[in-house]
Formats: sequence, structure tokens, C-alpha cells
Amino acid sequence: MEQNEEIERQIWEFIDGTCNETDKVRISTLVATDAVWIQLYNELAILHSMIPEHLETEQPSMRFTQNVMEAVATTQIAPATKKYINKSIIRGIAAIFMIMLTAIFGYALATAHNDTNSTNLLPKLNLNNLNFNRFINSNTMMLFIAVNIVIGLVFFDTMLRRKRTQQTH
Amino acid sequence: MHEHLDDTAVIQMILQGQQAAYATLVTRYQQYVFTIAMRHVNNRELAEELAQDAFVKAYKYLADFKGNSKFSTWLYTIVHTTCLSHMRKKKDETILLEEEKMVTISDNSYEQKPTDKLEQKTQKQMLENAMKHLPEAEAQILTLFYQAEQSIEEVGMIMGLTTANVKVRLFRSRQKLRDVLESKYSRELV
Repeated sequence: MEQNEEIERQIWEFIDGTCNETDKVRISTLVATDAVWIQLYNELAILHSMIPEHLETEQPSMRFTQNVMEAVATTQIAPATKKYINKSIIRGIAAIFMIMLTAIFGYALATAHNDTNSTNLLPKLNLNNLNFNRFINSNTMMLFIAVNIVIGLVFFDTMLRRKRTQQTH
Repeated sequence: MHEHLDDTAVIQMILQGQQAAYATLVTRYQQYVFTIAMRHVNNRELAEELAQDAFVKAYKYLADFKGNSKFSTWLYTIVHTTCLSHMRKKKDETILLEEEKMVTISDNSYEQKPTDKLEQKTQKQMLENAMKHLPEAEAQILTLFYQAEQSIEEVGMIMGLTTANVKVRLFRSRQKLRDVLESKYSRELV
């Protein structure tokens, strides 16, 4: 039974023309010489030609085109997505944000440098006294892995969405 | 009027403002669009409404058609998604409809009157009836592949499936169709 199903699958690939050249030659020999393959090929070939020949498309009502055209008469063609999503605008917004962040960071640095006598400074950090083992435990590792998984999924989702959009158009 | 023009040329005319040219595309694809919708809902009025909706959507977003695929593939994708979103909205009603459909099918298949048997002898009718025994997704895949003449890759694009997945589903659909034909109409097929 399973063997027959496998033969059937291969014959369909041969009929559809989706198998590779090597398989094409091998299957064409089998359907010409092997009794089991010949019988199955004939049955499938009949079905393959019968479906498009005898299966008729459904006919909508006579007024269908007219109905569509009446509905379309009141519809405006939307501008192409690429026209209203202008990349230079997005780049401009990004540039404004970058300039703002740089300005704030620059201002903060400049102010901190000029105000050396201030007592409002951050405490000095002695890296030698820092015990990293305190921070590296099972919880932080789990959190680290979870964050990475989430970032990975977001990246994968973005990639698939982009691929799908490209395929649709 | 523009029957001799290919789809791309007609689309260009529409985008340049000749709205009437859209009737050419509607006439060209209405049967396929309607058949796809019918395979989803199995109700003529509803299928016509969905087909019309799909044509209006296609018109509205025509400027977004980049020509990377055939216009028919792009259009059938819209029909498919329109039907799916309708069915999601009307899920409960659809289930009832399917149950009703199954009852109708079983009535037709197992309690046929002699006159019905005579009527159903042609291959066309046999095939139509056998198609009604297939699950909606399988009938859909056969419609796209055989009637709408879409390639395996294009069917994948329309239904949001990989090529390998389409191949498997197509294989299963044809296998089921063959089983139905053999079990119900083996005498007529001999």
C-alpha cells in the first residue's frame, strides 16, 4: 500500500513536470516497462486530463460585470504604497532623533566637564572590588537567554514578513 | 473592447484614468474568481458578493500591483484572503452551512432517485459531485491548479503555502478525488 502511494507520488511529479532530470528518465522508463507503473500511470493520466476537461468554472450572474463596474465607479484608486511611504521622510525623522540624542549627550558631557567642583558627582567605581559572581547566577542567565530568544523571534518574524510581502507582489 | 490587450497593458490604461478598461479584466477573470469564491462558501449569492468585493479591492489597490507575478495570481490572492476573512467573521454560520452542505451531499449521493442517477452519468457531473466530497481547502487547490491554471509556486503564493506544502496537498487532493470517483462511480468509469 505504502509502496503504491510512493509510486503514485512519483508519477504525479512526473506528470506535473516537477521532478528532476534523473527522475524523469527513470520514471519514463518505468511507466513504459513495469506493469504496475504502467497501470497506475494510465489511471492518473486519465484523471489529470479529465479534471480540466470536465470540471467547468462557475458562471456568475449576467449583471456581475455591471455590478462590479458600478461599485468601482465610486472607488478611487489608492496611491501606490511606495509613493506615500517615502524613504527620505523616514530617514529625515531618524536624523532628527539622532541629532537630538547627540545634542543632549554632548550637552551632558560638556556640563559635567565644566562643573568639576560640584559635589553632585557619581561615586567612583573600583572595578577590582566588583564581584561579578554576584550578578552571574541562574536567574540572570535565564533572563539573558529569554531576552535573546525574544530578539531572535522578532528578527525572524520581520524577515518572514518581508519575504512574504515580496512574494505577494 | 480591449480583449486583444494583455493584462499589463489594460492595467496601464486603468492607471492612466481609463476606468472602463477594468471591465475587460472583470470579464476575463470573473468565472475563475467566482469559482474560487464558490469553493469557499458554496453559496451563489454570497460567492458573488465576495467575488465583487475582491474585484473592487483589486481595483482600489491596482497601483500596488508591481507586475512581479501574473495579475491573475495577485487577483486570486485577494479573492482567497477576502473569502478567508469573511469566513473568519462568519465562522459559526459557516459551520452550520458546512453541516447543511454535508447533509445535502449525502442526500444526493446515497439516496439518489433513478432519474438523478441517469442525470449524473456524465463525467462532468461525476467530477463535480466528487469535488463536493472534498474538504474546502483541497477543492480549492484543485481549482487553482487545474481551472485557474496556476503553477504550484503560484498556488503557494495565493494560499500562503510553501511549494513543498502545495505539492503534498495537491497529491492528497488528487488521491482523495480518485478515491471518491472509484468508490462512488466505479461502474460508470469502467
